[in-house]
Formats: sequence, structure tokens, C-alpha cells
Amino acid sequence: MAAPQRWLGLVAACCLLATPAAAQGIDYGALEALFGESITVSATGSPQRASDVPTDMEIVTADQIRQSGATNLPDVLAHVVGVDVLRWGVSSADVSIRGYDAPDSPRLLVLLNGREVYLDNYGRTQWDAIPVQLAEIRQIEIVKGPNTALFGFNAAAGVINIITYDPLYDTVRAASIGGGTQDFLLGSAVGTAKLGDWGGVRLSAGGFRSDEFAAVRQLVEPLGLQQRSQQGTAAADLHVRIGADQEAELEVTHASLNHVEVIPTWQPAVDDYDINSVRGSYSANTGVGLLQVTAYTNIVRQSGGVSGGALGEQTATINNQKTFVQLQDVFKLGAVNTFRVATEYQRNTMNTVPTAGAQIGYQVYSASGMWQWQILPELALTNAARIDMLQLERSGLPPLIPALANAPWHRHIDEPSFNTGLVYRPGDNDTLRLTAARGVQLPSLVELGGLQLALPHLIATGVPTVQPTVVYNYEFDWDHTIRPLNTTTRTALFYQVSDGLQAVQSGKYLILPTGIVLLTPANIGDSQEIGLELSARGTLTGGWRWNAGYSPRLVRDQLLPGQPPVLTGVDFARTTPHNVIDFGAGRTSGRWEIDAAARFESNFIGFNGLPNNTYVPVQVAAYLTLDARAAYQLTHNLTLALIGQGITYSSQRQTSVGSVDRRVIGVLQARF
Amino acid sequence: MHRTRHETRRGGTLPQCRVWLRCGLAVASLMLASIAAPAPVRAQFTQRDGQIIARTLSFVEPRPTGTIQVAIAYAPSHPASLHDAESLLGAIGDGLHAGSVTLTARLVPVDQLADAAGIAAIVVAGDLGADLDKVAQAAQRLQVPSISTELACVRSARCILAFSSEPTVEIVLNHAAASNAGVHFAPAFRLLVREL
Repeated sequence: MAAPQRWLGLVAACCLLATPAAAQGIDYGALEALFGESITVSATGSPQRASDVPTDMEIVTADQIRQSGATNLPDVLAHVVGVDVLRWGVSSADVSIRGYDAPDSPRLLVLLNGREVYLDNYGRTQWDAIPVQLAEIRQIEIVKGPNTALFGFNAAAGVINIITYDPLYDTVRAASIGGGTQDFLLGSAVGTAKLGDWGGVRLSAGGFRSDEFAAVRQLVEPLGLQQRSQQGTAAADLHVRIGADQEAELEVTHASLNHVEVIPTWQPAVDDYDINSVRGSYSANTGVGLLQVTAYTNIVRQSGGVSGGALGEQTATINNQKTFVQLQDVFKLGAVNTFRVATEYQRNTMNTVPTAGAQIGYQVYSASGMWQWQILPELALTNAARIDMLQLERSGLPPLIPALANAPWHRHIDEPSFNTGLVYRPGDNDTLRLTAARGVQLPSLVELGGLQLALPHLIATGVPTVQPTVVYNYEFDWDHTIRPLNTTTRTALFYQVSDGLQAVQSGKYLILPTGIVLLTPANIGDSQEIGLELSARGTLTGGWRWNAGYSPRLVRDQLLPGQPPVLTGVDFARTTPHNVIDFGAGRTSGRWEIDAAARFESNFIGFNGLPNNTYVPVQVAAYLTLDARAAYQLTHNLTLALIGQGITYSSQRQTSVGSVDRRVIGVLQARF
Repeated sequence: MHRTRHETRRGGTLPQCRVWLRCGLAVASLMLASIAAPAPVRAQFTQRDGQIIARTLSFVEPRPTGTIQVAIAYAPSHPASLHDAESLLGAIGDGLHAGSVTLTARLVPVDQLADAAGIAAIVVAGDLGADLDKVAQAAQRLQVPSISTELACVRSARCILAFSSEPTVEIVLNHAAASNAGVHFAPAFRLLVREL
């Protein structure tokens, strides 16, 4: 407790020197219209133009989301350079940034309006349980590389922050219905309303149901599992202005999801999710800067398989609750120095499963700071640092491991992180960035002891000794605009080191004196990656638009002796495709809007978990996939779109677990 | 069989490599050439300039809404200044809607600025030379921002804001001059512009 208090004192001292700044929230739309480019706070916590951020960030706009024809978030992200999507089923997919593809993808932190939607129980994101409709998204901000110094644990390989329209400033009203192959049905509605001059409210709701892909059905049918997925979400957001200098916001969300997914042991399982959240924030312009208090709680109830075929299908209900409170201040000192200081507290708990009777959790105290120094008009240096102090705890019945009590769980994990970036703009057409960062991926609650599975011949349990994975990223970026061609390009060269890779199942299992096998998670080695990302985007006369990208990357793992991939299911060197190529083109002409996007991925491997607790590698051959959307504006308000996903094949293997089928979907959307 | 396939690959791959190499070199040359290309020079005020002025003013606190009017300050004795002023007035037209405001404008000779009433800002047209002091005095008296396209005006603290709209939008704010005139901007705006 002493350390957080010292940080609070430092924060207060800095604030006393700050230049006052007037109060007003971030009107993304107005600022974007003024500067002619997207505005973001996801790089440093302070508002910045996308071209100024000291990190490799890609912003997917509302127009691009619509033109993609996607009906879910992973499909929107599937054509972003540097982003990989493993689509396991109709509503189950994992997204990773810069490779390290695996089920659950715990290295990527995902947020909705700054609230974590990352699920700490297994360390993952259930994309279809994010309570947002595509029509209410203003932009999706994708940070490539660690940004733990701003967002904390698990922003290790990247961050995706989904920003919705703000009812205080924006107006959006849309409703969609659709249907297609796989007996797919969807409905979605979004509406905002102004409350005089002082506030606004946003309401949204939607859902879908669908049969699973044929290969997934064949996989889960013998296990007696369901072959159908369905989802529903709802959200309400109230944002009010209190006088001239203060604002407050309250957001309540609900999501339910029932689907087939793939768990970290590379096995299918069927899970029910029921997720609720409440987020409140208050901001005020004060003499010491723009102060903001944010608090939220995520209540996750997950019922279903906590283990797959290898360990025997075991079902249980996980109750995972996260509570988060943050106080931050953004202010300028003089004309060229911008600071952000923040302190955070979070508490995260879950019950042990499937053997109940105990509770695992942790509290985290954090302090962070950011200093952006505009050295010259064309040169800026940004440094951000953070310290997270985690207190692990366990209570209730003793663990399954014989002769082990709760005491070993009472330990601390203290991790520093940093982001530093030098941004040089030698002219209007170029931006050069040199960045370095240290990110931290925390072991999941399940790995830290949330899982305790007892079978006659084996015990599989989390342990308190698993260490975080630390990711270092060193990068050089060059953004260039070719104005005569209305084209922007980006070149990113990065080198990444991951220390202490985690595996949910160590290859070094123990055999207890009773003859029972003890399986535990462990840190199993290190890894290095070098990669290049080339991308270009432009427009042509006649309403044409295009984009292209190529990202070669090479991963090399140094696994510890006794931790071969066949025992751990970890082989990032081969689960990461070495070459990914994207190309897209589209045209808006009159009432028509037509787009197509193709992606090529070179061959890679995945795994299938076997009943004897080993993993068999499965080769996934190089593949090309093509998605397209043709939309026709029937009236001023009504648009009819025909969407094809994977239109060049009827079924294609894209993961080790199953194949993806072609999807054809029709959507009627009204905007009013 | 294996040998034949290998030869075929060799025969097909090398020419492809050359094509890709040439394409790559062409793109790289174009990129390098565009680095050296000079930035275009603004000839006169455009509607885009009017939009930037309107949207910038929507970040003044307290936040204005509805129709606002700016004074376009010009020197009657300088034909170039009058030309600039008229081009901006033409760009704004009968009213330029941008965000929460509709921008209108009227021409005001720089000598009469002090008497201008009901204006939300002063926009400086062309080079007013020594008359810029009158702009600074009027901005302080009326407590409104003074806006120019000349960076030197902001550097000398006689204007509060300077902007350029091409090729990218750049806004420079003299915070001391703004404070002297009692003009305040939204914090997000201040964090996004360059301050002197």
C-alpha cells in the first residue's frame, strides 16, 4: 500500500504545476472533421491525431466496417495487415496481432470504449460476447505491439479499442435484419437521442443464431454437444454535461452467447456466457488539468466445458468478476509538454472449477505516467511508464495437490512496463517512428489455480508459480503519402522478444506417489520474432478505392528441455503463418457500393488435443479466401446488401480443428 | 518427374522475381520522388478554409452553437488584402454549416475593427503589416480569437491562431495571446494543436 500512496503524492505534486485546461469531452466527430483524420486516445491516453501517435496504430473506420460486409468483429479485423484470425466456427474466432496464433490468444487486450472486454478467467476475448452492434462503432483502434504502459496487463502483443458513437455528440439510428446460409438469422438496432443541450442516450440491441459449419458439426456431434450458436447483446449509454466544466457517463451492457469454441488445449467445447457490465465515468476541467474518474465492473458467468476430450468433458460454471477503478489527469505544462498521470485499482476473482469450494483472485495496484515532449515542431518524444503490483490470493478449500495449502498463493507479482516513441515528421508527406516497449501478459486465473480438475488417473490444476510473459518490441515505422496518387503507405519493421512463454499444460508432468499424473501450467521457454508489414491504401477517380498489404514474419522459439510442442501444444514458430498478403478493392457509384477483399496465408500448423494429453500437429495448407459485398441503396433510408464470405470455395480448412464453409448473407439496413 | 518440376519452377520464378523487382523499384522511385515534391502553395481562401475556421470556433469555450459571424479584417489600401478578404467572403457565402455552427462573415476594414460588434472571431485577410497591432487590440477588447494563415502573426502574438489547410490541416495556437484576450479552447483541441 505504501507504494501507491507515494505515487498519489507525486501525481498531486505534478498537478499543482499544471496549466489549467478548459473542460469538454472528446468530440471525435468534430475533431476528425477539423483535422481530416481519425483522433485517438489509445496510444498515450491523451487525444492525438492518428498520424502523430508514437506507436504502430491502424484505425478501421465506420465506412470500412460497413464496406467489409462483416457481420461480426473478427471478420472486420480479418483483412487488417498484421492481424491474424483463427476462425473455429460460425461464432468462434481468435484474433492475434503479429502472429503467435493460438486458441484464446491471451496476448491481445480488447476494450470497448476503454472498458476491458478481455475475459481474465481463461485470458481471452469472446468476440461475439462483446455488447456492441457494428452500426454503432465509430472506429476500431488497433495498436500493434505492447501498450501495457497505458492499459496494463495483457496489452502484450497489441490492443484493440472499439470506440462507439457518443450520444452526447453524435446521432446514429440504424436497424438491420438479415439471413443466409447455415440457417443464419440476425437482427440489430441502434438509436441515439439528444436530451436537450445537456445530454444524450444511446441504446442498442442485437443478436443472431446460426448452424455451425459442417466440419464443426461433425466434430462435436459424437461428443453429444450442440451444433448451433446463438447470441444476443444489449447496451444503454447515458452521457451528460454537468454545467460547463463537468461530464458524467453511465453505461450498462448485457451479452449472452451460446456456441462451440476451441479451448487452450486445442479441443472443442460448448459454452454458455452471460456477461453483464456497468461502467461509470466522471470528468472535470480543473485548475490542475482534465481529471477523469472511471469505474466499472464486469460480471461473467460461464457455463459449459472447462476441459475437452483429452481430459474428459467436464462441465462447470465459472463466476468471474472484475472491478476496476482509475483516476487520471491529463494536462500540459507549458506549450510543448503534455502529461498523463494515473493510478488504478482492480480486483479480479473466480471460483475454482470443476472442483468447487475455493476462490482464486488478485488485486492490482497500478501507477502510470506519460510525458509527451514536442521537442521541435517536427519532432516529438513520448515516454510512458507504469508499475503494476499484483497480490495473488486464494481462499476456501485446500488445493488438489496433496500437502499444498493456500499459503503459496499469497504472493506478489510486480511488473514494470514502458513505451517510448520518437516521432519525426520531416514534411507533410512523411512520418517516421522509432519505438521500444515492454509489455506484460499475465497468467490467466485458470492457470493461476482457477482450474482444478480431478480424474481417477490425473489431476489438472493451475498453480501460483506461473510467471507473466514479458514481451519486448523494437520497431521502426515509415508512413508516406503519395498525394498525386491519393495513396498512403506504411512500412513497419519490428523485432519482438517474448520471455517466459506460458503453456496451459507443461510437458514436465509429475507422477504422484499414488500413481496419479499431475498436469500443471508452466513457463516453457522464450521466443523471438522479426517481421515486416507493408501496406498501402488509396483512392482513384470514379469512386474507386483499394488497399494492399504484405506481412512476412519469422518466429523462433527456444523451448526448455522437456517442453516439446507435442506435450505443450505450443509451437509459435509453426503456428504463425510466415507470409500473409491482403488485397482489397471497391467502388461507390450512384446507388451501388461494391467491395471485395482477398487474403492469402502461407501454410502453418495447428494442433489437435488427444485423449492421452498430447497434441498432434495438423498442417493447414496455404489458402486464399475472398469476401465480397454488393450493396444497393433502395431508398434514401434503405440499403440492401448481399455478402459472400469465402466465395471461392464451399469448404476450406483454415485451422487445425475444422473447416470454414462458404457463407452467403443478405442484409436489409434502414438508417433514419 | 521431380527434376522436371524443379526446372519448371526455376524457369517461372526468376522472370517473376524480375517483374516484382521492377514493380518494387518503380513504386520506391515514385515514393522517393514524392518526398522531394514541394508542397502546393495556397492561392486564395477556399471553402475548406471556411470549414476549418467554423470548426475551430466550435472548440471555443463556452461552446457556440447556431449562426455565428466572423469579421474579415482587411486593409482597404492594400488591394491584395481586399482580394483575400473577398475570396474568403465568397468561400463562406451566405452561410457555411460545419458541426454545431453556421458560419457567416462580413468585411470589416481594419481601422473599424474596434467598433465591430456581435462577432465570434476576427479573420485576418492577407498581409496587414503594421495594422496587425489593431487586430490584436480588437481581439483583446472583444475577447474573440484572431485567426490568420500567417504563422508569423501568431509568433508575434498579434494573432491567436494560425492555420493551413493544405496538404494537411495544421493549427498553431499562441496560448499566451489567447489568455490575454480571455479566449479559452476545449482541452481536447489544445492537446491536438501545436502551441507556442
